[in-house]
Amino acid sequence: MLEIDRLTISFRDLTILRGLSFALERGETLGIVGESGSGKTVTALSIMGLLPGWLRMEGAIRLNGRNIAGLSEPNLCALRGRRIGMVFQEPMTALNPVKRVGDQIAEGLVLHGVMDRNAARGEVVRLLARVGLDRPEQRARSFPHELSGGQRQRVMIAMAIACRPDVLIADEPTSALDVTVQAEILALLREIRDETGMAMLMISHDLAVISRIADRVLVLYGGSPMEMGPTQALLGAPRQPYTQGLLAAIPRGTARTTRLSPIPGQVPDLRSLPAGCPFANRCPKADALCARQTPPPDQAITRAWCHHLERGGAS
Amino acid sequence: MTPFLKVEKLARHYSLPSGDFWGRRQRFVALEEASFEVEEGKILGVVGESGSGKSTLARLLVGLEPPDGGSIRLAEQSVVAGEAHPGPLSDVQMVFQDPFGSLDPRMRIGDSIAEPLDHSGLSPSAEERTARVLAMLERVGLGSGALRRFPHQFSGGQRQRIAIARALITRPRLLVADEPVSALDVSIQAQILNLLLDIRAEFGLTMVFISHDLGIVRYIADRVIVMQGGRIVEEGDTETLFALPRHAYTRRLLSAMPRL
Repeated sequence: MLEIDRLTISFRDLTILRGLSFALERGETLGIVGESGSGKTVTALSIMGLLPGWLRMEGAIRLNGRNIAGLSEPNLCALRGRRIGMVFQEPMTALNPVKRVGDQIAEGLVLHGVMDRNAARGEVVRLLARVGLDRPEQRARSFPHELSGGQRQRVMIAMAIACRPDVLIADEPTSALDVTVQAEILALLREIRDETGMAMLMISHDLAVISRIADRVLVLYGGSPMEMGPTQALLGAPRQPYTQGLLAAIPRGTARTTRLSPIPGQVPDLRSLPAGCPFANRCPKADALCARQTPPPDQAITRAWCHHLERGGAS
Repeated sequence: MTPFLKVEKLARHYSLPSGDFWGRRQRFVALEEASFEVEEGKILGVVGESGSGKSTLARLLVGLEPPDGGSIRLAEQSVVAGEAHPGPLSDVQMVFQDPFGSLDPRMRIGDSIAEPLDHSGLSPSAEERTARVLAMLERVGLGSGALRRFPHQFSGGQRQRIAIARALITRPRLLVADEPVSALDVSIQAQILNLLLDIRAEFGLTMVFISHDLGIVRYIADRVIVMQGGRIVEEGDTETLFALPRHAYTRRLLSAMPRL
């Protein structure tokens, strides 16, 4: 359904994303995890055609077989919100503060010619009820500031799914929310995905959140893929040193029994990344080869990019 | 044994800006009669969602705001509502969430770290001041090269180290940390948590650690209080509270917590 093929994004001589490829099937959820500067948001923006013009994009983004990379703005407008829905992290800045939320949801339906204004009014109420807002008729007449953070995120979801898109891209949709609300929003996204069969791209820095919703996980670091594979396998038996480090750095249990093993060093500045594997200067296994040459992918249960994978039984 | 930190019926309310029809000001209760104790050298975790009163509690503990009721007793010092406020307690320091907002962007790191020392009334000599700043920089894992640089030259994790150095320079006995790792990347969070644990052991620090992240609180805290809507709804030993939560709200929080 959605296929990203060797997507590379750069600014002058600075490479932000280094040849990323993945595919997304109908009804499937891919979680993208990464720290700051890993390239997860820039991936989302490029799929939606929202990259600023001064960034150079190479590679292909295929939606149902059609390359949408580099489409003109009017053509992109026809896709955005219609075929590709989006949910952002901060619903307060993503919603228009001076427009009633019902009108904002109806706007996409009318603009894309899915239905006329009258029919849209009824559909908005149905959508608001679907995302779990009580008294949807009244809610449609609310302004964003009258809603709580969780309610606003529900409105964002209603807006994103209004035109029944093929793909929903959610960039840190629950990061600004309290845990109890976060759990509700994740459950809602799961339900809607199963109901509509849309594919979902879920971006988060939080592995625990990703593990609750994604079928497969892609781990990014410094603009390069590190490891990709089925969620359970990748979290249960990570093969790549960065994935291993990331999982070891998450507190489980208590300080009395276990000490955390952090990844040494700092999250790197894109300007000072090694030419080869971007993780080379923080990796315990790295040698001269890693700094020089990008490792090829190695496919076992998960696909891992590393020169020093332990050769187990599977591969 | 008398507890190191004893908080009794601590309360704080704010008047809302607009009154009702008769002009009567509405009162918002941010913290309602909070009572708890912390033993010396222990870490108290405070969890709760937004609006639960965690940050208000932090601000009262460090003396950034006066309480409207109740008292805070820290070893031999005390802050009691209604009595003249003794000013910020010298034995208490704070680490904030946002390492980008909590350091003066135009002040060199060395001066930022020394600033609490200059206001503490300890007035060390110039050499001693530099020596203490250097020792502290070393302790939090930054070299002497950081001394004359500015905050923008550091990453989030490094800035949080600087904020910790700044908080510890006056040798406080209580450290209040309000979401100290929430703005950091996962791989950096673990570094800062380890640093806080090491420092606690080394300096015999008592800590109040505020976080919305239950996994982190479970990891670092000896005891936990759970707050909701300005009230403490449950308090207990960390392991017991996580294993056998009694209050319905605690149970809801724990079941919503995403686990790996």
